[in-house]
Amino acid sequence: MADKKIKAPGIFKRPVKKEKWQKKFIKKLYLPEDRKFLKSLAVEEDGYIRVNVDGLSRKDKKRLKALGKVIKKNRKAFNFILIFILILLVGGAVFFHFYLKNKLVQRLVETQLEKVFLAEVDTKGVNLSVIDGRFSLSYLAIADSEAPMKNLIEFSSVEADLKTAELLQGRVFIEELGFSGMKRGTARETSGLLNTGVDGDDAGNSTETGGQTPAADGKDAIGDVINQLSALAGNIDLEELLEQQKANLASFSVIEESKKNVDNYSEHWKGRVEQWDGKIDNWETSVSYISKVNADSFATLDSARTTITRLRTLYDDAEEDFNEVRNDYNAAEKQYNETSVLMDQIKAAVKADYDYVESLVSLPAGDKVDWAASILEEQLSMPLTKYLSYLERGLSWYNRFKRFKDSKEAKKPEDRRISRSLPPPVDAPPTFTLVHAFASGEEPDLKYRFDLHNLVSEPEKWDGATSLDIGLDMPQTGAASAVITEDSLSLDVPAAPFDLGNSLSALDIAAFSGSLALDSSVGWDDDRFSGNVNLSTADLVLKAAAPDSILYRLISTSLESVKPVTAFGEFKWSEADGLGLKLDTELDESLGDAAKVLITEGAEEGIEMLRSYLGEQLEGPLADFDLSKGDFEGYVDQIKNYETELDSYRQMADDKIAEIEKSIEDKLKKQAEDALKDGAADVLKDLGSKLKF
Amino acid sequence: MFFIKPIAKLIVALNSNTKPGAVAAAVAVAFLLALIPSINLLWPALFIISLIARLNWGFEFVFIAVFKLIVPLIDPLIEPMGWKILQSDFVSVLVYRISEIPGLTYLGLNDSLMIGGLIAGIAAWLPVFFLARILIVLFREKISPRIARSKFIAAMKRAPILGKLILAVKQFSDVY
Repeated sequence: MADKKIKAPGIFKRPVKKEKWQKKFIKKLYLPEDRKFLKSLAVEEDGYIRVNVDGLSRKDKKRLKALGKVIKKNRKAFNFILIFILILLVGGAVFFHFYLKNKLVQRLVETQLEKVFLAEVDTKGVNLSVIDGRFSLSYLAIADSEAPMKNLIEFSSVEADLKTAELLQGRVFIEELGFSGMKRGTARETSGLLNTGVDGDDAGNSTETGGQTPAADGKDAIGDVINQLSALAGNIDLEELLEQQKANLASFSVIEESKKNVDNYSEHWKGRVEQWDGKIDNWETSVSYISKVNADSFATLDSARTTITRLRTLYDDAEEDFNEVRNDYNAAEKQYNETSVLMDQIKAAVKADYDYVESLVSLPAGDKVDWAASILEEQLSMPLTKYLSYLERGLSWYNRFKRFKDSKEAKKPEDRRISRSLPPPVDAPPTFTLVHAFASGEEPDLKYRFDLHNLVSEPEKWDGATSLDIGLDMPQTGAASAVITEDSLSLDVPAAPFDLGNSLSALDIAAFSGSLALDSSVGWDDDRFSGNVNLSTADLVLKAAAPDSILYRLISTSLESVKPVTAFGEFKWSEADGLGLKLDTELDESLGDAAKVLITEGAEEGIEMLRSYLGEQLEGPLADFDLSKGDFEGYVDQIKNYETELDSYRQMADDKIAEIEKSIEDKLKKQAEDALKDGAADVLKDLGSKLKF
Repeated sequence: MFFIKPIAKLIVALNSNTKPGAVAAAVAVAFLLALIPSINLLWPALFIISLIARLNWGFEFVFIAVFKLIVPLIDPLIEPMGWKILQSDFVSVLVYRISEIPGLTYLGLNDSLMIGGLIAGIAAWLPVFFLARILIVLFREKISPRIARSKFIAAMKRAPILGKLILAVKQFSDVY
């Protein structure tokens, strides 16, 4: 049997040159034992290397085969499979660009808008050109989820033109973004309900309900306003009004307080008078004693001494009681004078209350604007201050959001790796530029167009000023316009007719129509707003269903005197200073005057009734007060009487003492004279007898 | 277990006929990719290039993750360096000019971490590459045979998870 050479596997089949063997085989193995193994199989023949597999075990053959694969693999510098995949991806992208892109974009636009609006979205003529940076739609219609056979909105074309080169430089530059032929509520040929598995009828029913609810709510809200206005214009129950306002009337409490004070005085002086009654009774005994004192009371020296001592004691007691009663009287008189002050307070309170109840139905001069504002508040069914509070709340939310955003931004570097960037070059264009965007469309009897110019992220690097122009064209009135810039808003509306029809029928107003022109401007700076408004109306017509209605008379009287109406207002608003409003309008004057006349007429009778009712109400408390005051006065008089009486007692004791002293003096004098006479006679007699010697 | 396969592949790559340069380059590229911020065009571009070149993917992925954990620690060195380089006239002009070329602004070169990381990564590429290569060769020629013969490994083979791992290594070793 001839020697048959067993062939080596794979890449080892053919003999290779010695250099190649070293370079392409041995050097492609990196494990020393594998190199050693391969080298052990190499046989050199005529400058060529052959792998000898004779006598190799099955395991070694397997190892050699694996090494062949490894060498083959290690020879490749690149991963060709990956390169192939990349080529496939690029090819796929090219295919996508030319054949699938627009369809995919169309589907994307439709599905995303459907998710937002929950209704069918139809598009036509979608074209996206990435290289040119253009996107356009020749038709876009979004169905109304609440009225499936109508479109919520449709556009005859949507166009966007971007600069791709700018986009590749990290900047967004939109040359034009336009929405044309905008219409609302147009009819659809097919239902706009999304096929989401919801039963059609159910969806329709819920839709119907959902569609009516806001309208019904709106009607209810209007009804509420009308009811409130009717209530405002209707008759007022003055007695009930006064009862309601009783908490605001001060005189009742003042009278009650005064009466309480006077009653306290009376109580005190009643006790004192009772004390004085007892004392006066005691004095009757003393007075009786004094009146009985006569010459006999001085028959003896002891009886005279006793009488004088007692009389002096009585005199001292009378003096003491007199002083005490005089002090009481002074105190009582002082308090009595204080009741005059209380009376004045009562009078002032009563007068203030009369003024107040009059103010309930009368219109103080100079408050016309406030009154007009309150009417407006009623019509808006919400106080103006509430609207302003919403504005303030909105601003406060904005500030909070800004603070939150600032704090988040301040925290950012802590969360991530901190790095710095070079500022953009001074001459670099803004990172976002919208040169022009517009939207145009029409409604019944109205064509409109919005144009937004020069919206840029860094305005200082852009020549054009940002502005939003709003143009409205109404066949009946002509064109109206509004221009909004970064810091101002100006409006110019020609006389636009309005006709409220019979929508104010609940106020007995059958028709109200006319025309309204507006010319205004508003400027702002940070959180400050200021501006002016010029309003003028003409051809106002007001017809009443019930001409006796107060509100109708008010409005019609006002409008009669002012036709047309012009109003000029200036306002300033800031978060810190609040609202400053200056309103100058003939209508306001006229409305105010008319209101004043009407209210004055109606109020005169009301005021009389209120005065009378208040008088009746005050009558009882005042009478009670008078009674208390009378009691108190009686006690004061009584004490005065006691003062007089005690004074007389004191006088009586004093007189009696003087009388007795005089009587004693006379008696002593007489006794002295008699003694003198008797003595002289005795002396003469004695002298005579002596002379006889 | 899910982690055995990738670990086995790494061990096999360490001790297989994979070119040591491919493994070392994967480590060096991973270091570079970990140093530069990833939200820009340069990072995916370098990553794709590294995938096309025959680097060891396993080592690249693992070392990117490992170096990403370490890199924040050396940020305080890299960022000021990058900022200084970025502010130099030559580099700032270059960066502005590159940014003006459509598309290249998204390379994110106008960033101190990017420039610092890029420069540091490029500068460290060769040292890391050679260091990794030396370590791999050393491992294959000296350490691996000793480990294979050690009693410790013989004992470990009997442990359930390591036994599975060794089996997996063997399975992948056959491929190489």
